[in-house]
Order: sequence, then structure tokens, then C-alpha cells
Amino acid sequence: MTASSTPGGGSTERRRAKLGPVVFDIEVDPVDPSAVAIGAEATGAAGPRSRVEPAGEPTVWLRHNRIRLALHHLRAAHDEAVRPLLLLHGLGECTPAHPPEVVAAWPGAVWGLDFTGHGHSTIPRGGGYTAEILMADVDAALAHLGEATVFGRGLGAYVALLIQGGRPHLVRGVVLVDGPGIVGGGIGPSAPRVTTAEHSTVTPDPFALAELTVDVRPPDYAVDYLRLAVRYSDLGEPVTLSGRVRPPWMAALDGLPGVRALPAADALTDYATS
Amino acid sequence: MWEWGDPDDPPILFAHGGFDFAGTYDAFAPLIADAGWRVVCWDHRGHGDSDHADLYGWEADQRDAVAVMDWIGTDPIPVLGHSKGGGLLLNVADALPHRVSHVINIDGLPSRRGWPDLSERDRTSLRAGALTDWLDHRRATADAMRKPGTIDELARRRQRMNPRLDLGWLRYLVPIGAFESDDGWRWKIDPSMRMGGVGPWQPEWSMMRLPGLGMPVLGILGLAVEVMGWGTIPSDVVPNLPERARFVPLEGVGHFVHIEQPELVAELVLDFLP
Repeated sequence: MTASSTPGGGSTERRRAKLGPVVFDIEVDPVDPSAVAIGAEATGAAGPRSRVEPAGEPTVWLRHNRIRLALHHLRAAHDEAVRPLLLLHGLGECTPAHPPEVVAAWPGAVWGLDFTGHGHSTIPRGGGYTAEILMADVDAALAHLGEATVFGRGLGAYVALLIQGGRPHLVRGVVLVDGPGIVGGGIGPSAPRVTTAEHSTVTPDPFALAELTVDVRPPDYAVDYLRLAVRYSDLGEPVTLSGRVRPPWMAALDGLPGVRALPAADALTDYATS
Repeated sequence: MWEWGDPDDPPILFAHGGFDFAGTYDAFAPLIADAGWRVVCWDHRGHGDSDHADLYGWEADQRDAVAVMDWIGTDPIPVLGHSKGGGLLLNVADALPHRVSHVINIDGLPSRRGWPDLSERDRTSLRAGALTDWLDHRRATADAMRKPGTIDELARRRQRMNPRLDLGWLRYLVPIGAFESDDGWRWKIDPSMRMGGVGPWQPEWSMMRLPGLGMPVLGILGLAVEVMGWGTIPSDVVPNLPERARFVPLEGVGHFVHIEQPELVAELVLDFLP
């Protein structure tokens, strides 16, 4: 365009800014997923930087948009007729190398998903995490596994509730237990802040830790997902609270139709046959 | 990153709305630059010429805004945002008041008014449909591409969401906001993004950043109701205005106030700025 011909009649044209030596979060080199190193084991804070591969069949790699997700096969089924159990880890954790003792009696296969930015899954560039994106991570696992019961720790417990509401026909029961990231960022907008983190080539992604400790979890939002689960699932009680900690989003569920409080092992025994 | 005006003039930061890009300020920004301001605007992540990101979120957009401010300098500067960009800069001004000297908000004051008041049962059905759509969309994002078309077709498609904007203007935007390949033009915006995502966000959360702002604030509201707008009316805003605020509701103007009435908005802004 020539001068005096911008659409609004001004004379100044737009030009590309001359960028100096500033490095933006988003401009770091793309991460090669095969080169992702793994942080401490979920079960041991002083664990090695390279973790033991989970036992069982090879890991399945799933694609969620630009993210490559690791879905680990932890244990074969004792009874092929029973649907798989999917483990969701807590914030900053990853799928353990072996299924925890509490799920030992599950008759079906046991799988564990590494969320975006965790374990063997890709580290995204520049953050942007939400619990809903992790819900869609789980949906990518369900697209592979089909019907499953879900066992979620901490952040994974909240995400388990979301996916039980989001895919009520595919998820047959969720067991929510204590773990890192169970509280979230409170029930409404917190004190104003701009979260920052340093880019890392090692999981867990520091952006995940920064953003998913401030994600807002209003109780009525959690109850909406429970209502979806109750209305569209044919299980009488699709949500089981098996932990001790009751952050507000979880306390809002306690006592509502479709929710029960029960030890995790008992809940799994029940879901395995329903 | 884009600029209008003399690089030695005092800077002002612009933020565009969701699904827009810096070029949508081509009618308005030159009027501010001609008056002696260096206007700086960035394409939000996934929008315009900026890279498509792995993840998107409010926290990430805020961080990007602050990265742009850091690039401009450390002195407090005036900021101007339209729609989503307006809400974003309210948050930044609230979080980092030492970085922002003046806030100008153009139809970026969301209210609950545009949201249907539904029974619990209807709300559950609505959320179920929206969630299923969103999860299905996430399953397809890895291979998603925007629909190609001619410049005229893209302009007409955009006019469905921007019905008050002139087709000639929308045709002008296509070569800026879209790219051409063998089978036609496609909007550059990341195909993984879509209107109306899922999540707990409530419109009043952005409005609640307004009352606490200590710097001068200019709020401009288009009162003609349209598809991209919030349906906010003056009585939603007035009780939330901080002490040093000017508020200008405009009858007969839609959501894209600065595109429909660039001279009028420029006059209001230049009168407000020091």
C-alpha cells in the first residue's frame, strides 16, 4: 500500500518489528521426543535421571495434536474378559515401572499414561497446560484401549473425574486417590500473577508444574462433570473417592448421587465386575 | 511482532482479539501512530504469522504478552486490547501494575449476560454435546487443516462471524491472515484452535480485574449485539469502574468498534493518552 491509503485513512503502514536478541519462551528449538530424559521416579524423589522402563509389553505411542504420548503397558490381563485399568499419575510424576500394590487384584490388563510434559511424553514448547488438555490426553488413550476403568492420583484424580464426565460411555468407573496436584489453584481466580518457568528438556516440564498448580477448579464445575457421568453412565456410582484429602472440588462431590467413598481396592473389585 | 510509527516515539502495546491478528489493526493503528505513538502489536501464539504452539492457554497468553512488554522495555507503557486482548491486558495490568501506565479496553469486558440461563438438566445436555464435540475435535487435530477457498470465499466465511464488517475490509484481511497454496487460501490460525473451548472460565472473572486497577482506564463498549460480542450493557460495567476510569458506551456500533469507527475510537484514545 502507498501512504495515506491504509483502510482507516491513516498514513502509517504496519511493518515487521526488528527483533533484538530477546529469546521468547515459544522460540526454543522443538524437542525431539526420542531425546526426552526422564526426571525422578514417581515413587522416589532421589531417583535416577533415567528411569526403568515399565515392565510388560512395549510402550504404545499415541499422537495428541503435536504431542507424542507414552501409554505404558504395565501388566497383562489375568482375565481377558475384563476391561483394562488405566492409571493416571499425579502432577510432576510419571507412570511407575510396576503397578502399585493397590491395583494388584485388578483382573484385566493394567496400563499407565504419561501426561503431556511428563514421563516419556513430549515436552511442549512454552507451556499452555490446562486440566482439559490432559483430559484429551486420556481420551487419546481411550481411543487406543476402548472401554476402561480409570485410577487417578492427585492431578490424575481430577482429570479422571473430567474424563468420566466427558466420555461416560467409555470410562466405566473412576477411583480418585491422593497424590500431587490434587488441590489445584482453588475455586476461583486467584491473586493476579503471571506464571513463568524455564524451558527444560527433562520431564516433568516446569511449565506443567507452574501452570497446573494454579488451574482453577470451581466446585460447581466439578459437579457438572459428575452430573454428566451420572446421566450418561449406566453405572450406579461411577465416581469413587478413595483418598483422605478433600479439596473443595472433591468435597462438593462427596455425598451426591453417583459418588461413594470406599477404599480403592474395594472400589476396583466392584468396578471389575460391573 | 508488528509496529506502526516512528521507532523513537513513545511505545503503546496493542493486543488483538481471539481469532484475529495484528493486521486487523490496520484501519485503526495508523491513526494512533500518526499522532506520535510507536504502536507495537504481536500475533498471539497460533494466530497470524506467529508459530502454532503445542498448547494454548490463558496463562501462556499472559506470559507471551509480558515477553513482548519485556522486549519493548522496562518503563510502564499504555496498553490497548480488543475483546480477548482486552481481557488479557486487564489481567496483566492487575498482576504487574508497575508495567502498565494506562489501560484501554475495547469491547473486552465480558459479562454473563450473553450466556443462556438454563435449567440444570439442559445445562448438562449442552455441556455433554460441547464436550463430546471438543474431545472428537482433539482426536482429529493432528491431521486437521483449515478449509481452502478463494479470497472472496474466506472473506465471506469470516463475515458470518463478523456480520457488521464490510466485505471489502474482510477481503483486505485475507492475504494478511491467510496463506495461499495450490488448492487455495487458508486462514493461518492453528486448525487445532476452535471457538468456545471447554474449561471452568467464567466471563465475570475478567471483569473482576477491573475495579482494582489504579492506573487510568478507558473502557469503550459497542452496544450493538452480535455473534462475537459479549452482550455486555453499561449497567454491567459501571459498578466495576475504578476511580480513574472513563467509560464510553457507543450506540449502533458492534464488537469491532475500532474497525467500524476508527476515527472516533482514535479520537477517544488520543484524548485519553498523556
